[in-house]
Amino acid sequence: MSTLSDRLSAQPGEIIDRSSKLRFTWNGKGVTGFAGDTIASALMANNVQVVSRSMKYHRPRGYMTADYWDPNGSVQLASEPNVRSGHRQLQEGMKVSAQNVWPSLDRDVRAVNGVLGRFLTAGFYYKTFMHPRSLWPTYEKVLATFAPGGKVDLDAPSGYFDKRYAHPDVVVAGGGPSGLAAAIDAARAGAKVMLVEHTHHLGGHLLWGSDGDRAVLAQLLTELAEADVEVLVDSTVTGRYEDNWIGISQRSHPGVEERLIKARAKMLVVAGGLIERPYVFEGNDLPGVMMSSAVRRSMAMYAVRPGSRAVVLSANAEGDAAVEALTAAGVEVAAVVDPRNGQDLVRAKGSRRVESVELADGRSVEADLLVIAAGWTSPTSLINMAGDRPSFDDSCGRFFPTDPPETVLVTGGMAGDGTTEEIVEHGRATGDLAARRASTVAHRLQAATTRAQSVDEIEPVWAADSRIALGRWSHPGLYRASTHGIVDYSEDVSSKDLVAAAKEGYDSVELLKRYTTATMGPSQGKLSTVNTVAILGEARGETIAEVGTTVWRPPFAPISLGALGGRKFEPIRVSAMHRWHEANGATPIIAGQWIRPEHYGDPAAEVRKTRSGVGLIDVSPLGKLDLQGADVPKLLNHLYTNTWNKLPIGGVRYGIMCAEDGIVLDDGVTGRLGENHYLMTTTSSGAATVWEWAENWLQTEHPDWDVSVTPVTTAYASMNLAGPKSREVLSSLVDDIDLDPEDFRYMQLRTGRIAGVDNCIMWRIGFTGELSFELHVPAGYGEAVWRSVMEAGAEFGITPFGLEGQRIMRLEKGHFIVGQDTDGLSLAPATGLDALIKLDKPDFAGKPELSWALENYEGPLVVAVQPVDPNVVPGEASQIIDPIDKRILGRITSARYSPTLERSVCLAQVEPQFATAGSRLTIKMIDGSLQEAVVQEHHAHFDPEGERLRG
Amino acid sequence: MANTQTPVFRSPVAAGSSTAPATMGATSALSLADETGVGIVSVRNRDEGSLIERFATRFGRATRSGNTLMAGQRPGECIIMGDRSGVVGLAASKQLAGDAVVELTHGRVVLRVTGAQASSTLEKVCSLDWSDAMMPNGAVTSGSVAKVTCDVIRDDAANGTRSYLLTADRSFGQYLFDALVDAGDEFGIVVG
Repeated sequence: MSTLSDRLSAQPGEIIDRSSKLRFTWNGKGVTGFAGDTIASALMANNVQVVSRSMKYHRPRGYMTADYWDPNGSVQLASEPNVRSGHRQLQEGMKVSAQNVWPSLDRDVRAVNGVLGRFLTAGFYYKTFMHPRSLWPTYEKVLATFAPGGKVDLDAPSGYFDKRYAHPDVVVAGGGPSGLAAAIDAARAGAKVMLVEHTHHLGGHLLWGSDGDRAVLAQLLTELAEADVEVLVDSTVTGRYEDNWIGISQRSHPGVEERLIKARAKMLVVAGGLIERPYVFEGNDLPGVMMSSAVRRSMAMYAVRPGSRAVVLSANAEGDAAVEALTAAGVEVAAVVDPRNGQDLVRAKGSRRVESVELADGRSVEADLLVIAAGWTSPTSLINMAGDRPSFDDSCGRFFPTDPPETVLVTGGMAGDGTTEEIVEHGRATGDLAARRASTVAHRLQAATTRAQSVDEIEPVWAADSRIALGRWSHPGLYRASTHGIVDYSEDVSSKDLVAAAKEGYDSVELLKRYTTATMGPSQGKLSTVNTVAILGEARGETIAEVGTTVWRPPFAPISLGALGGRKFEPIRVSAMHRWHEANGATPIIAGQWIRPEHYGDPAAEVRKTRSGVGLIDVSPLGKLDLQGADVPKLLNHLYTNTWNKLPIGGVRYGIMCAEDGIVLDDGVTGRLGENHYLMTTTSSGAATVWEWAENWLQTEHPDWDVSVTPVTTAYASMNLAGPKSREVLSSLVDDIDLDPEDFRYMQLRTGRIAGVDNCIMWRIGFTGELSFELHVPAGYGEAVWRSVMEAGAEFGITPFGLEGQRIMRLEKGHFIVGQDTDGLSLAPATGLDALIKLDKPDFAGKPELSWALENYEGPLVVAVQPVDPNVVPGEASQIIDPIDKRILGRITSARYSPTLERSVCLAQVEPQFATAGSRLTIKMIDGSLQEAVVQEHHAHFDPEGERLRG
Repeated sequence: MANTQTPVFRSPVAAGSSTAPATMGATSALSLADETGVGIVSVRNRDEGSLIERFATRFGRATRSGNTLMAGQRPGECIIMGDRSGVVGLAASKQLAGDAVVELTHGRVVLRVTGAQASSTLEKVCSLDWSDAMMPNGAVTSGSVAKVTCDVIRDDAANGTRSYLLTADRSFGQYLFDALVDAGDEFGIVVG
C-alpha cells in the first residue's frame, strides 16, 4: 500500500501560488513549497508524516487538524520555539525542525516512556517525587530535561511590539460566512466595524466547500470590499472583559511582531464557528488519523493529498463531503463507517502511521488515512467570558449560548445549524441588530460625556432581537469508542488516565483538569474539553450537562508577552538645564521619573569648592504649588503641623506634614508672595502626593475654603546657588533686588529680574547649610539664567554640583530626608522637631495621633551618629545592634564621607534609650564586622549654630 | 551691575524652535509641531457660570477667537492659549475677585498633531475615543498619552484638517515628542 502524500493537480479553490516556489529546510534537509502554503501543508506535500513526538510518551505524531489548534504541529523555527506550523505561512529560507526530540525525530530515545506508560499515569509526578523532600532539587533538574516545547534562544533579538486602542461600534469575532455577513450589514447600517479573523483567510469552511460555497464566499467578499469595514486577518479576539473591553492580538500588522489592540466595542458579535472534535479510540493519535475538515482544507486550499487509501468515520454531512472530496482527488475510500447507522470503529493500528483500522463489525481494513467526522465543539470562550453559561444539547452533541449580555450577540455555528444561505442570513440580521444597538450605546455615551457631540434628549429604543433562530440538527453523541485512547493530545492524557483519576476521587471536572492536566496544553482544551467531560460523565454515570465544564478564561489563543508589554512607555522628566548638564559631563542618576546630574566628575571636590567658594545645583524637580485665595493660611495650618497665621509677605517658613496617623508625609518650605498668594515647595518625590493631599482636603472636607492649588513644578526652573561667595555672584545678575543681608535675610523671599529674566522668585534658603539663594525662574529661560550664573561665578571659581554633593552637604548639616531618614512608621516626634508640632491649633492633619505621640512616643528617633573610626562609612541600612544579644536597636539611614570634616557623617534611627548624646552604638557592617559609633548632640555635624546659612 | 545678555527662550524639545513660535496650526498629511512657548494662562474660579460668561466656553469645550483659544479644561478652570502678551492681557482684563490666575506658559510643553492620520497616531498611545462623535472639533479633555498626563484639545485647522493640541508638564516634553514621532512613524509623520 502506498503511503505517498503529494500535490494534487490545480484545485478550484487553492490559495497556493504555484509560480512562486519557496525553499526551506526540515530537520536540516532541503525541501520546497509554494507561496501561500503553511509550513504544515508544505511538509505534508513533501510526504512528511511524523512531525513531532508527544509530550509524555514521545509517540510519533502527524498532522491531525493541520491548523492553528493542531496539538501535534508545534515546531522550532530557527530561534523561535513552539511555532504552530498549521498556521504559520511558509517563507523562503525558513529553517524548520522538530522540537523536544533526542537525538532525532526518527529515533527519539525518550519513546521508552511509552513502554513505561502504565506507570506514568496521572499524578505520577505528584506521587513519586514528593519524598524525600531533600531530593527535590535533584528531581527538578532531571525532570527539567524532559520539559516539552522548543528551545528559547536567549540571544535572539527582541522584536518590536505595538499597541493600539480602538473604539469600534461593533467587533465581529470570526470571518466565516456568518461573521462576514454580520460585518457587512452592520457597516451598511452605519456602524464602525472591526472584523477579526483568526486565520489568514476570510471565509471559514466556505474555503474548502463546494462550488456553491465558493460562489457565496465570492459574493460576500465583494460586498465586504464595498463596505466600510476594518478587516484584521491573522488576528484573534483573545478575550472579552467588562463593558465589552475586547483584547485583540493582531499578528499581521506590518513592521511589528505582534500588536495588542484594546478595543472598547459597543457591541460584540461572536461568530467563531465550530471546531471539529476528535474521537477517542485506541490508536487515535497515530499519524494518518485526521479530522475531516483538515483533510478537506488540505486538498481544497493547498492541493495536498493526505493519503492514498482512507477509512472515513462520517457522522455528519461534513464527513460525507470528505468522502466525496477524497474520491474526487483520487484517494481510495476503502470503508465508510457511519455512526448514524449504528456503525463504529474500534481501533487504528500501525507503528509510525495508520496501517489498518479495526471496525466494530469485526472487519480490519488496510488504510494509511483515517478520517474522523465525529462532531463539533462550540468554542464558547468569549460568551463564557461575557458571563454566559452555555448549556449542552445532547441531541446535537454541543454547547449553545444560554443568555449572553445584550451587548454580545452570537451567530453562525455557535448559534445553531442551517444551510449556508440560512447561516448568512442569520449573520446579516445579527449585524443589523448589532448596529442598531450600538447606536443606542453611542447615544448613551455621548449624552454622558460633556465634550462629545450633542445628541437628542430622547434615547433611541433598544432594538429587540427579532432574528429568525437557526435550527439545531441532531447529531450522534460520539466521544469515545469501545476502546481507550488519547483525549488531550497536547498533554498526552488518555481516557484511561481520566477514568483512573475519577476513581481516585478527582471526579470534579475542575479537580480532574488540574490533576491530569487535561485541557491545559497549547490547544487549551479546544479539542479535548468536551471529550474530557464526556468521559468523566461516563465514569460518574452522568450526562455532560450534569458534569459541567471547566471555566474558559482569556486568552482564547496564546498571546506573546511582547504583545502584552507593547511599546515601552517609560516617561522620563528632565529639567530646562538638562542639555547643559549633558554637555558638561554630568553623570546622570535616575530619581523617580527624573534624570538628574549625580555629579560632574568629583562630588567631593564639588563639596569643597562650594563650602569654600560657590556652587550651583539644579533643583528643578522640587515640587512647587501655587496657592491663591483668602483661606490659604487655613490650608497651610491644616497641612503642616506648625502655625501659619502670621507669615508676612516676603516671608518663608519650614514645616512638616503628617498623614492622619501622624506619620511624616513630606516637608518643605512655603513662602508668601502676596496678600493671598503663596508658593509651596515639597520634596521632589512628594510633589504629586502633596498636591493630591491638598486637593483631597479642599474637595472633601473644606470645599468652602477659598483656595486654588495649581501645580507649577515645571513652570519654574529651580537652582540653588550656595556658598560664601554666592551673594557676590548674584549681585552682578540682579538689579531690582537688594541682596544686602540686613535687608534680605535668611528665610525670606524676593521677586524680581535675574539675568534679564522677569518674574523670578528668589528665596534665601538652602539644603546645604551654606549661604544660599534658591532661584525659581520661568522654565523657558532656565538654561539662559543657569548659563549666566555660571558665567558670573567664573571669577569666583564656581562649580556645578549634583545630587551626590548635595547629599553630602545636607548630611554634614544634619538635614533629614523624608522617606530616607524617616519611613512609613515614623511619627513626627521621631524627627526631633517637636517644636514644630503646635497642638494649640484647633485642628490639623494628624493632630489626634500626634497629641498622643508627644506624650507617649517610644519609637525610634533620628539621631546623628559618628563612627569611632573616622574612616568608616557604614552602608546605608546597616543594622545597629546590641553587641551582647544581637538585638536590632536601629539602623543607619544615611552615611557619607565628609570632605569638609574629613570623617564619616551619619544619620540613624535608634531606639530612644540609645538616642541621647554620647550613647555608644554598635553597627553591624555589610561584611558582618562590628564598628563602634557615638550619638552626637546635634543632628548637624557641621555649623550646628547655623552661622553660615544666615551669613 | 546686572548682566545684560538677552535671555533665550528654549523649548524642552530639542528638535523644536529655539524661540517661541508665533503662530499655531500646522497643515501636513500627518505632522507633529512643537508649539511650546505659546502663551498659556489658567483662570480658576469656583463660580463656573462666571467663567462661561467671560470666556464663552464651558467644561469640556473650547472656543477659538482668532489666535486665541479658550478651553474649559476642568470644572471651574479655563485655559487661555495664544499670543503670550495677548492671553495675559485678556486674563487680566476679565479678572474678577475670586479668580486664581496662573501663567503656565513656561510650565507646559505644547505639541500639535495634525492630519488625517492624527487620530490613528494618537490611538497608539492613548486610550481616548478619538472619533468625531466623542471628540469633535472643540472638544477638551485630559488623558494619559504614552503614560504622561496630558490636556487635549481638538483644534482643527482653518481648512478643516483634523488637529489635536496636547499639553503636558514641560519636563516630559522630549519624551512625549519622541513617543509621538514613534507612534506616527508608520503613517509617515513629518516634524514641523
